[in-house]
Amino acid sequence: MAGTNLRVGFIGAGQIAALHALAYVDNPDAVLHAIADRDPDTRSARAAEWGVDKTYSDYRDLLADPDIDAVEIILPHHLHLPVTREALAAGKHVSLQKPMCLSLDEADQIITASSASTRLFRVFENFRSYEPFLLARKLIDEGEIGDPLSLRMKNISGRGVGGWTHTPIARAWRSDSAQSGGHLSILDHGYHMASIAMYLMGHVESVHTLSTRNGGDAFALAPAMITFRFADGDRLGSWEIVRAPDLLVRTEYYGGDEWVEVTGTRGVVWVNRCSGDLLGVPPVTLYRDGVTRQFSDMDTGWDASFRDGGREFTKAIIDGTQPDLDATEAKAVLAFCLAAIKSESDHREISLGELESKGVTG
Amino acid sequence: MSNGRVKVGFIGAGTISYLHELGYHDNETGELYAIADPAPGLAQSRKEAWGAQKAYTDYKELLADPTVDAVEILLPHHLHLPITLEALSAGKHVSLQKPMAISMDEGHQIAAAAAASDKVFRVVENYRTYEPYMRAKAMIEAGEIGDLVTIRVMMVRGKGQGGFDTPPAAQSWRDDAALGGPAQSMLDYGYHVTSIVTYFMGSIEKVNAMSDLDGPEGFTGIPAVISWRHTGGQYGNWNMVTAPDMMVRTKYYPLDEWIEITGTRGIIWINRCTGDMLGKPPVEMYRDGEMRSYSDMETDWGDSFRVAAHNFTDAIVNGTQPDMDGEEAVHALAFALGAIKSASEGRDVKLAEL
Repeated sequence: MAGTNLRVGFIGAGQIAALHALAYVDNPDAVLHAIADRDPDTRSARAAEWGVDKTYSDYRDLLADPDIDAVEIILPHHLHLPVTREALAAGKHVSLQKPMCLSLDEADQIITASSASTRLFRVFENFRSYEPFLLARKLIDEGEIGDPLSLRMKNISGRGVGGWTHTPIARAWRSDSAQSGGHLSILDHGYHMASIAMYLMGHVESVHTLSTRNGGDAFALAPAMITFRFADGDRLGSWEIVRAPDLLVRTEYYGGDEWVEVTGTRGVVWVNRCSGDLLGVPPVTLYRDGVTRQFSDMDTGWDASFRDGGREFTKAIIDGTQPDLDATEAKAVLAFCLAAIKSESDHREISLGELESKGVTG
Repeated sequence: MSNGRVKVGFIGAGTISYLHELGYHDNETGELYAIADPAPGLAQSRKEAWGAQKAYTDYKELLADPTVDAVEILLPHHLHLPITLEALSAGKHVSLQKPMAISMDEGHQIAAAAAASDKVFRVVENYRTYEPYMRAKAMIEAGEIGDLVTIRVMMVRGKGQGGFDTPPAAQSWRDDAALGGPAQSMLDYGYHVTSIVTYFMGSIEKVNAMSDLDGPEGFTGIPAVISWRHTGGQYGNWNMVTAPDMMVRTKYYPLDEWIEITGTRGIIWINRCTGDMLGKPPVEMYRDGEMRSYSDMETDWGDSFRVAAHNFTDAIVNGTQPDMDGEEAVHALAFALGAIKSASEGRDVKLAEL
């Protein structure tokens, strides 16, 4: 690595990259050294905004730059596999923005490439770096709710107030299933939810989805009711995806929010917000033994999860450790999403194991 | 109705009957007149405790008593069909304790008998007269949260703190599927949930349930997670779990429920029912950036039985149809049996196929 700091390049500087860039403000381990984006306006605006001197219109030139130690791949989903392979082959550490890719076959190719490489590879799913979820996990690990038994998750989108809308570029590729994989409520946003379910309760064995297809809308499926069995014994989960077009959602980002409830043998823990702040209540609540406790002493900004997740990447490179999500875990999250999508079209419960032999794609 | 009040007989005087009796303390349209129970001395002791006038060990004698206008049938589930048919034939108005029956065939027979009778028939499912649910329903009907989209139901069975225990006599028949029916979590307890979900969201098109249908004796079919689509295109889910070390403040069964209903414009939560585990306001609503709490209502679960009994005797006097009529009760039964069939066969079940 050149110099004392890691030099990181962004491949893709679209909408979400603004949050990824936060990791490199006052990062003791790394600097954002270069960006690649084929859109000239995006390139110049981001370079000025982030104070980055080096820009490339072709990511291959960025990968050929010997000053670059590591890359964050922040691209439309169909490019995740080829660009990840090229980046690893070029000797770069890779942080790949979720969702991992579009099929289990692609995931296997990424696993093979990362196994063959000495470089660090991880999929970046920022909910696992969101402090309220970290606290919930800590409370569970410390036995506060006993043995976890039931998970309930909700993803609600409404009329965002104060936040983002998708930019025309972000909207265009997402609307094309060949690029995005389609079924975005489950494959794209849902990758966060599937990841957090597994983070809190372990791996999932089978999944069932009830939903309605909204014609050619790549953002479908919604509403959806997804239920699942965890690999560990009697643990069961449910996940609701709902759109409420006239529901006001306070947010600095997308016009949605998420909340999660985990019930154990002795208590219940709730995470009451994530990407928005719809409810305006303390971010984490714990019930046990007749007492409800509220936790607010944490950073609840959704942006902080990108900052912290990015820093986990660069610190892990320095320390030689493996940050979440490793390739195997990332594939398991993808399998959960793909099984949920397949269940909706097959009208039956899908075991994650049965996806392996069939080369199922989204 | 010599004094203008409906004279009611209880057929069955087991555990739950004392909650039904609350409906006759201050009831302007009905009085508890007679009690029948085959257990030695039980009907007599209940009669004395409750100030009723007649005690019978054989329900047939109660049905033959011309002074009895109406009956509440509070019996093991396999007896619901035959005794409802006998009671209607005897010219009595009938309030039948939930669940309606233990099979679709039985449910249809009851509904047909009720339709052919000029007497009032209803299935009593007390969650529909629990004030926080009635308040939520009124808010929904007033358009407070826009058009309904989804419902989520959570049920936790825990360690009761202050409530009653189910006595062996009430438990033993429930443990026999021929008497109590299958999967108590979905049919016996669950009938409350299938009733309240259809109360809020309308009829069900199809259901899926994940459960291995075993579980603790007397409450099989837990844990479970159930999802469904309504005929109107709305969706719902329902998690049920036994949490043996969970303290549940309650005066009744050691369990509690919370429900969340999402509309196009807002969300309503009903934060308690059987117990008072969370200690939150019973009803909350989010809309337009504002969270509102509603506490100006009766939250005691037992009060829902009082209201239900009043609805029954009022309806007899006024000649109206109280909740739930035969058709509605059959639908709630189909929802419960559909969930059990789904869990057992590992596939989605359309209620129409039942």
